[in-house]
Amino acid sequence: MHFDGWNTIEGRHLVFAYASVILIQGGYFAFTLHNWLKLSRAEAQPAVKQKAAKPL
Amino acid sequence: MFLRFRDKIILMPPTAPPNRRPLTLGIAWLALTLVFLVIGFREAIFIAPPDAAQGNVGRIFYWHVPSAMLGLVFPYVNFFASVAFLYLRRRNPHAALTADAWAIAAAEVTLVFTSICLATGMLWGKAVWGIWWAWDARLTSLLLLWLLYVAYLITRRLSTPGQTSTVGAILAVFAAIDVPIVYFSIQWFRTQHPSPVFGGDGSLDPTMYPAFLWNVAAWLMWGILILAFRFALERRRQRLDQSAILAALNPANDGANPGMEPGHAF
Repeated sequence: MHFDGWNTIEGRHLVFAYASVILIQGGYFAFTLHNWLKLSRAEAQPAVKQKAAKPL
Repeated sequence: MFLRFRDKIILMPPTAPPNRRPLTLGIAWLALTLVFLVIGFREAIFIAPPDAAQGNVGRIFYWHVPSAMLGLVFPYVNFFASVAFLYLRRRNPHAALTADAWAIAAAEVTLVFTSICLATGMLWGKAVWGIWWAWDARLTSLLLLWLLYVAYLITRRLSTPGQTSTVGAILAVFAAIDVPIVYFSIQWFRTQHPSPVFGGDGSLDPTMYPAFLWNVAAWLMWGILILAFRFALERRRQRLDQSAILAALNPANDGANPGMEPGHAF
């Protein structure tokens, strides 16, 4: 592919589009992983100290 | 997490013994998905020819269309899981909780794919049409679908505990009604949105099929991965809720072993 360059709207928006895909998908995956690890820490505590988990 | 039925509390089955098989399967699936995504990216950027009319900005199509397709598929996972929850909540509370976990996972995945569809569509629209947004039927109905799922997730978070799943399931049924309206909007109404890729005037050139199909396959695999991941997370959260509530009801009990059979009602 011949990249149009940053100075054209076509080139910029193609980069922005792919960045938005990575940001949204990667962000959601990271958010889910963060909650997974947070839950793992909560599970490691004795049950009497556990609070009911907030809705995710 | 509990379900209440006729003023009785139904217990979930106790936590399953640790099993590494799902983790191994998940990591293998993630690795395969990443391979597909890399191939899809290579096909879309370096192999597929530029669009005759739009040039390179037309390559946005390879992420926009698969996201749009999956954004219209996952709402049905949410819909069927929600209907299953409504049907099972009094008949089989354990299965209902499983259905509820699928429902919230599918709702979040739907929101992810429709967000990408809207973002990439706007970026393409500004470059090709010269405007970020047009209030035509396809764009407006998709925005409505996105808003319905935002409302679904906010409602679940803010509703009274115990009613969250039921309120969410009812809202999911209404959200699913919008899906065929989004899909058929470009046939039912005169819109600015391009024609359908399959069977319409906007049929793809055969040289564009490999890039398109690789990306559809890759994003479908990714969608299944994040759906399963979010489902597993929700099941763990349900079990943790149960342990915490059991411990609160009987502080002498550590919550891990409630001393009752699964399905016990008290």
